[in-house]
Amino acid sequence: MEALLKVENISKEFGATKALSDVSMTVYPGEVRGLIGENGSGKSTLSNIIAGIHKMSDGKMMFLGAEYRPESVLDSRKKGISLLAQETGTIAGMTVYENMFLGEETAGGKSRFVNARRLKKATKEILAENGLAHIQPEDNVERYSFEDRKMIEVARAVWHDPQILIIDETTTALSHHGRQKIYEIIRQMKKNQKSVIFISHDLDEIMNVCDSVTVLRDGNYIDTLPHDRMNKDTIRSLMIGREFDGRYYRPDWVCTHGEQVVLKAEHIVYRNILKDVSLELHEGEILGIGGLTDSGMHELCKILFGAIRPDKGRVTYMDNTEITSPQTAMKKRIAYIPKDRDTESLFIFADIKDNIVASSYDQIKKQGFIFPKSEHELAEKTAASLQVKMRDVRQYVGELSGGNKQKVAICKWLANESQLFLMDCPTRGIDVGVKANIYLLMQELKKQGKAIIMVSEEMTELIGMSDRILILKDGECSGEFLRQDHPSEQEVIQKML
Amino acid sequence: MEKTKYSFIKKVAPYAGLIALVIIFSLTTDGRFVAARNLTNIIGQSMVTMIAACGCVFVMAHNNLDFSLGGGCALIAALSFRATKAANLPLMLVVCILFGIGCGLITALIHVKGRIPAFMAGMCIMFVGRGVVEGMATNMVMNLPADSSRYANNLFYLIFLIVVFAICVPLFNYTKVGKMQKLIGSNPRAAQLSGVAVGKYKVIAFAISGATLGVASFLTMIRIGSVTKTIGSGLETDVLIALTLGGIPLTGGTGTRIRAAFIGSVTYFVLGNGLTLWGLDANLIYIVKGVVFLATVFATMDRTDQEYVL
Ligand SMILES: Nc1ncnc2c1ncn2[C@@H]1O[C@H](COP(=O)(O)OP(=O)(O)OP(=O)(O)O)[C@@H](O)[C@H]1O
Ligand SMILES: [Mg+2]
Repeated sequence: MEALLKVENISKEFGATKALSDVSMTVYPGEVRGLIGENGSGKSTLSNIIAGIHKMSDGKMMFLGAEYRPESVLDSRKKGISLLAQETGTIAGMTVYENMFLGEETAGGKSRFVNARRLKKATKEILAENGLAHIQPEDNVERYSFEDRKMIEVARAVWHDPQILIIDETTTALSHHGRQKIYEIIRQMKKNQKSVIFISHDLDEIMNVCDSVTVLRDGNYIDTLPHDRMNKDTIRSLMIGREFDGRYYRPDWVCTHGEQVVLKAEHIVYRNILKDVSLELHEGEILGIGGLTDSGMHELCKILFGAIRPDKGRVTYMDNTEITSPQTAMKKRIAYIPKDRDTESLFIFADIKDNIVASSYDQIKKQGFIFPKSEHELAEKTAASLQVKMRDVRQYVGELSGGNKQKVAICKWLANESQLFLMDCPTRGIDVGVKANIYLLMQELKKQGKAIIMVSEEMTELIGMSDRILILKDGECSGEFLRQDHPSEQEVIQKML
Repeated sequence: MEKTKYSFIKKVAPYAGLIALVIIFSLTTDGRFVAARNLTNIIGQSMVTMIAACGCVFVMAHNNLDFSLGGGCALIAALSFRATKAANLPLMLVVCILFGIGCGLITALIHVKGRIPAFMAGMCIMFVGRGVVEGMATNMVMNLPADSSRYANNLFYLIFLIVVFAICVPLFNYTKVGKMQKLIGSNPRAAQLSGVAVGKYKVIAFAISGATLGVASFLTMIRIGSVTKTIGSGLETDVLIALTLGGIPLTGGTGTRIRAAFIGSVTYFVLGNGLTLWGLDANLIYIVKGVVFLATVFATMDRTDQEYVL
């Protein structure tokens, strides 16, 4: 069969960092190709090169039988390759329709002037076709949730009707509905003899979605497995270069936690997003919270941290202090890891050190002074504990791979020795090896009597780690599962829909 | 862009610029530029700006501009003269600093509580200050006692500069007050969600900027010997351009260095002085300064965040 895309001996250097060396890959029409590898192995770099965001340092690409050298994202889109980026690809401060037609405002029209009315109308149609009728074209994209923004990008990509669609870890950011939508798009593309390059850290998902999978390690091409040779253990050991020892989620199936209630939310009402939600978190407990994105679980997490004031109800710490701001929460050693890491969690243009110590100045200051040496020591120690892949702690966070950014976001709260963790999708974009480490870390924290609330969109993670799972649906608690009852994924999902 | 190389260039560019200017002016002014009197004159002029810039760095680090400086300087001078009749200079200095902090707090509270952009709040101080001084200067002569002129020398300014320096530099580099400004400037949302009391630290920054403005205002009065209608005019732009020439990132953040205040002020006055020695028309000098400012902004502004857009 004629190849659709041929990537030949591509290398890419970012200054001193070698992100890709001599990688080749061939994608055929109608193929769904998985791309997998540890954090920082070069997956995003490769897809960004194919999509025209980065220029390769060396190598050559062929697309539809001709040499292919995309100048920009717009150029590659025009030629038939669309990318769903790992981080948000919509631009805050612009409206939905402006984002939809970014750089192509005059496309299809006769005049060279932008016709806003026409663009809005077209946007409305595109959104409706993709089941996103609740999004208004003239609204600022910031008004919408992470998932909605992602889905706007999806709609934009599909509308361009690409020959190849690259999906860089988009699915882990989406809830059940969003994922189903993406799988549907993939099926359609396949049916029309078009191709998909699919990146994910979720091996089950890779196994279900892909026809073949290419493994990268440290910027090197390792192997491509056809469907009949794909199995989880093989993929894992190819990824990490040694046998994977298999330990992952909690081995026990009992609810174990202390009696003491450490955090309590009573009758929380917030706009029409949360309608009377109450919960209690005990010491040493891992409380999972699941639901669809619009169930209000992400907002609940912010309210527990004091970052949003609820309209009614209150959040109290065990000594009866009411949590009314992030500062009061932090005084009680509460940590909050937001889902939207680039805009809410990280200082992208600051270095790793500044990011990690951002919440720990009170711990490391001596007579009011903060010395660079203690900053460095703390940052290095914490970064090492999660194996952040970096040059050194002076590197900009913006240069890290997605998963390593997430590790830095977690490090910030490990550094200040928090006692209570509010984690919103904590393992988003993290590879299997490090995921296992984070799960171990959670168990370690639990053992020390620290309490964790984990909001997650991954069923297996919720079931695998939580002592108790609360399900939110349309702003109300629709179900509760205990660990000893060993809930199945199906049961849990049922309560969400 | 590779970080190490890029940040190295950013680090040396302000020094290189200053050295280049000094060399050029030394070679093209028949020795008038390097004459001892001329150099002391430049240093004298730049020190007052340096002091004001030193505090202003705190405000710029959290990504705000302080437009109150010029008018604030006038307001502080007029009010402190009124309050103390310039009878006792140390007392007057203290009053200047207190009024300065007051100005800073007003700007900050309008900005933080009223949710109005800080530069607009600052402009409001600017207009009030100008109005007050014009009114007062028309109605009375505000001369400092004659013996105050013996303080109008570089050594005296230098003592103040050293004290301000000794307080501001550690405060900015090694305490929470400085660190928090830089975090807020990097990403205010993430700062808030990392537990930074954003409003509080913004207020502190403006208070510090106000305090150094108070000192600057006091020294300006000493230098001209009275409170005139035009006292302090243009200080806000002087400081802004000086800081920019010193390599401060215009959007603040963790790349902000307080040394910008020192090196930038010197560069700014060297530039103005050299152009004057060249015999350039005063209006033309404004134009040249404007062009240099734009060029520096163009060269230093971090536009990497726009890289991904298209
Ligand atoms: N703009 C950049 N500047 C410097 N180094 C970079 C830049 N972008 C990526 N890198 C480096 O290139 C390597 C590969 O990164 P890449 O983002 O491709 O990883 P990835 O496989 O997508 O990982 P993840 O699963 O975490 O998303 C990493 O070591 C990263 O630090
Ligand atoms: Mg990636």
